[in-house]
Amino acid sequence: MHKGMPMKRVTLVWLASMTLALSGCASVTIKPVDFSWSFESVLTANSAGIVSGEPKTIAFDAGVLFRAETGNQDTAAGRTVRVIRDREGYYFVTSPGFKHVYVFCSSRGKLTLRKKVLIAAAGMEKPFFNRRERGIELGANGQVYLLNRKGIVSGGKK
Amino acid sequence: MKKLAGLLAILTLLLQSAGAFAQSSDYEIIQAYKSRHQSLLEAIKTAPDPGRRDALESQIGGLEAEYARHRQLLGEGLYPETFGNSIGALRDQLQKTTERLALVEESRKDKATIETISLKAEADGKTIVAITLQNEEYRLSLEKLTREVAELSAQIQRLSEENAGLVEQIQGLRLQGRKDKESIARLQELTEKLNANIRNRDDLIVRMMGSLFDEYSKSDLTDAQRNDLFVQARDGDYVAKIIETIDGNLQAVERTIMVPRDVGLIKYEEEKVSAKWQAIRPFIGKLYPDEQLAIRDLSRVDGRLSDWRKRIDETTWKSLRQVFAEQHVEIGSFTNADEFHARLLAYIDEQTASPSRARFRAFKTKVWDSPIKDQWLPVIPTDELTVEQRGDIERRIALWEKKISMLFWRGVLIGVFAAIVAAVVLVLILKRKRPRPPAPQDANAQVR
Repeated sequence: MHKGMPMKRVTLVWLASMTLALSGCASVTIKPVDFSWSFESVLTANSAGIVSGEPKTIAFDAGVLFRAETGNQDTAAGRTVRVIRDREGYYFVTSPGFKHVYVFCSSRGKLTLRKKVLIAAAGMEKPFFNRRERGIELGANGQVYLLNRKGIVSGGKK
Repeated sequence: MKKLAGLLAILTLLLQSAGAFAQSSDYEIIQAYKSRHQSLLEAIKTAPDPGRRDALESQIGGLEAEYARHRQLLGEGLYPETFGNSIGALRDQLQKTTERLALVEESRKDKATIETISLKAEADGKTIVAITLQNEEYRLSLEKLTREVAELSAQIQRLSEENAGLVEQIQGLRLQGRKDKESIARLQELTEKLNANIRNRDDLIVRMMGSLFDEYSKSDLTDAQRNDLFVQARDGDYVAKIIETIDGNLQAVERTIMVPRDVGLIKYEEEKVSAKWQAIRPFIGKLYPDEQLAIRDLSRVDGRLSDWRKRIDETTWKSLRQVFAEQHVEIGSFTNADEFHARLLAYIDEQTASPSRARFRAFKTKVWDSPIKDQWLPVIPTDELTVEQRGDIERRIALWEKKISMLFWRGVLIGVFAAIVAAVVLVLILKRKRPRPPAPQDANAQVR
């Protein structure tokens, strides 16, 4: 640093540099992004209740879901969980016997429930997800539903 | 615009609803496809025979058709593979399997061929060992045969020479015409010796022929071995020896006078040699590489055997004629049964016409009853001198005998009559010469 340079001037240069650096970083944004999975993942929980699938799918503790669904301390071990992701990146999760489809968004190592969509009060038999143009298709109890992050778009009970 | 969008949304919903029951989980479609693909792949890989190819091809086509509408989904589900690739993989596998099965089939055939070849090679190996052993045996037997044949040839040669000497001696004795007991005994001795020699020589030649052709007739002989035998036969001059033997027999037959026993023996010898010759004749023919030469030699032996048979016949009739001649029964010349029959009947008829008891007795006892009837006729076949011809002769002899008998009784009757006449004449003479006693003076005479 040169002697005699006024402090004010130095401060201005630093601020300008930081502004440029921060504005450069924030300016790289990719959109639109399609986060959707081509088809659902059907994952079976291990003895610890953790579901995980092939390298491209996620892994999480499914026990939380089962406990949330039933309200008791049910174990997820050996149970299957069906997961699919839509274009926006929301995860749709359910399991045979569930009444709901859980819509999560992901952030920094966690899934945050965005929507809990009631499908069948008596529980779903053989539910499945398919990716469709307009959202996520849910098949359950002989009905077809179109879902998005907000809930049922069409089909079945809204 | 909003209305249109809403309409489209409803339409889409309806369409989706309509297809709802037909829909299923994409995941399960993919899983089902993967599962069926895997099963089919396994089936193709483990296809047991090429005959399954068409069925498997058809299954691939079926799978492709069934899942074609999920092509895109499957492309994602099978990533990095595509639906087309996965079907192509099945077809590739089918092709590989087909080739593998073809190779297996080829290999199986090759294996079978190899096994066949191996077995054949093994068999050939055994055959080679067997042939080697057989060759060794053959070599030894050929050597043995060669030695044996040489010995037999020497013996045959010796007997032939001895027989020639015997024939000379017999002829000499016959020419001397000596009838003394010693000469007859000597002649008989020489003849018996000659006949024994002929038998021995025939036995030897038959053995020699047998040795050679028993060897030849072995079915497993190679061409080379047969050629060896031919050389052996040629070197040993078998055919010449056979001809020489038959010629020797022929000479012995034609130069001697046979007794009936000799005829039987010689005919037996002739039949024995002929039978052996007929048995070996085909093999001898095959021994010759030159057919013309074979025909020539075979014909020579055939001719000699035929001559031998003829000479035996001729000598038989010649010997028979000799029987008549020795007893001075001149019936004329004959060389066969018919002539014999005709001559004899003519002679008997002639004698019957002018019967002579002495000639009849000489004919009957010294010629006909023995040796002709009891010794010669048994050795003359009935197809030569038939039963009818024999019967004719017997009947004519009976007639001759009857005539002689009648002549006898006529003589007796004449004698008896002559005796009676002589007796009557004698009685009459005696009666005339006896003096008459004086006649008594009786009363009646005085009265007259």
